[in-house]
Amino acid sequence: MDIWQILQYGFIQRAFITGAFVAILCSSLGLFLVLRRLSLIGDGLSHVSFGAIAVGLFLGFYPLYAAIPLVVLSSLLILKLTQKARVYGDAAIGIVSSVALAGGVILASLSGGFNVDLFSYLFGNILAISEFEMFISIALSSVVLLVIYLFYYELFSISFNEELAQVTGIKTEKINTMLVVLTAITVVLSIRVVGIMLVSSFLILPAVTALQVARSFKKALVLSSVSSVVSLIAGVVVSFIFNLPTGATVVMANFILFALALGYAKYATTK
Amino acid sequence: MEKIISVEDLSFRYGGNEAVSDVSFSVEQGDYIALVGHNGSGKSTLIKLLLGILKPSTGSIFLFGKDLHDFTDWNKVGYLPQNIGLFNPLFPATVAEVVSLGLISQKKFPKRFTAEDAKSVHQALTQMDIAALSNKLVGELSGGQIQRTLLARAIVNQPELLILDEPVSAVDAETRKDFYSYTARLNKEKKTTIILITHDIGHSGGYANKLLFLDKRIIFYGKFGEFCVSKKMEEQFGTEIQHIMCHQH
Repeated sequence: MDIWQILQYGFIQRAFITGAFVAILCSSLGLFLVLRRLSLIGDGLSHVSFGAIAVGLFLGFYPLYAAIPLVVLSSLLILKLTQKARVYGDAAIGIVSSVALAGGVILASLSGGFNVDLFSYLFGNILAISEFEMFISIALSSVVLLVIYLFYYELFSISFNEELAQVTGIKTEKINTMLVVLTAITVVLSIRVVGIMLVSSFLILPAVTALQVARSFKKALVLSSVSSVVSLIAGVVVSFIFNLPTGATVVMANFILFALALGYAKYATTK
Repeated sequence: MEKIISVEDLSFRYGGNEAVSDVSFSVEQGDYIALVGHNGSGKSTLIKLLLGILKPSTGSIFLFGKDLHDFTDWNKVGYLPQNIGLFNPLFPATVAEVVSLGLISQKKFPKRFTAEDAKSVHQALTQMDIAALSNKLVGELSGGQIQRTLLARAIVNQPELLILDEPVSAVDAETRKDFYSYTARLNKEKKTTIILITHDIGHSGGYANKLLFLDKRIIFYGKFGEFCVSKKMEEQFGTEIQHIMCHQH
């Protein structure tokens, strides 16, 4: 079966379109998170989304409707714990994510009936994305990408140095809050593509790949997105041909690109 | 003379310890102040309070006549921080990109740069003699080159107040000399008000017109010449130390 035949399938088209939007979104936001040493917030919030999805399934809502507000609230709670309760950032992530995860497990146990659905959220199922989910993902991804575009220099500046950013009049607390909220929305959107367990790799791997080879900040953003979209396309095609789990194959494709970039960077410095 | 900075009864406590205690002083336009004191005397803390990076426990700060809470004219201020080692060497920004960040304070939302801004960046790089490094990544620079880049960033918006925190601590003698000459020119020709944190009291006396000696409280604030003849300072430091401080430059 050649690539053109594969592209004729509606579910593959939806997978590529939704996946490309989410890939660009994750990789753009991921660059700021990695540079600010906040990579693990993606991991923590993905665990929170397990609990949030369990709430949705338990109450009979469409799970992502429950997940977006609950994960955004949890991201703000992590920030407040760090700023006001003198809890270290990584500890705050640990507290909120483990409580949410525990809540999700309790709800799953109480309901006793949504194990199959939860599994699809844990590992993603990009090939089962509906048209409705595709449009929601495109709309929300577009909003988040627009916010990143509008606040590009503020995000760039606080990523370089928060103190210096503050002395140019940037309200760093507000930008930090915005970054964490955008991350929460992005994590929820990525769940259908790669799943709760693998979402943080979608945020981290394209960014660290770009950091190996980029020669400017703008190029790092572009390379991060290109690396993420290429990995997505390769992962979807390979998983379809060899009947492999798609989310996991996309992550492995991301890792292969990272390894290649790392090798190139080492070669370039020793040349 | 316009008051650039006015500080009244300023104190800052950190975890029960007083880092800055009951400090009051004012800075006038065109002043070049050497802010000196031993390690842990509160110099960097005082600067961070002036710039709003830290919030004071008590007291008030006015910048350009405005309460710091309401101050928004950050394009009038340039800042060179102390710890260049804290910058992430993997940060993927070019020298020109980093310098352009100094122009953000002039921009309204959504912040975008113009061809004029690119000219300002090039001019600042030329003034710092690093125009050839424009497209180099900051992670590939030497200590002196980083310092020049950050100084270019601090002056690119042509600030009226320039605050420099130990800017020559990690650079060679030639860069240090160039740096002092450049700041002295800025102060004389453009009337830029400068506050320079330094351990190098002797050399700074050759450029600064005032000395602020801090040890959590203000020990001395006045003209450099007054410090050298002050009986109080002679009692504080001893005749020999005072003589060394005043005759190194």
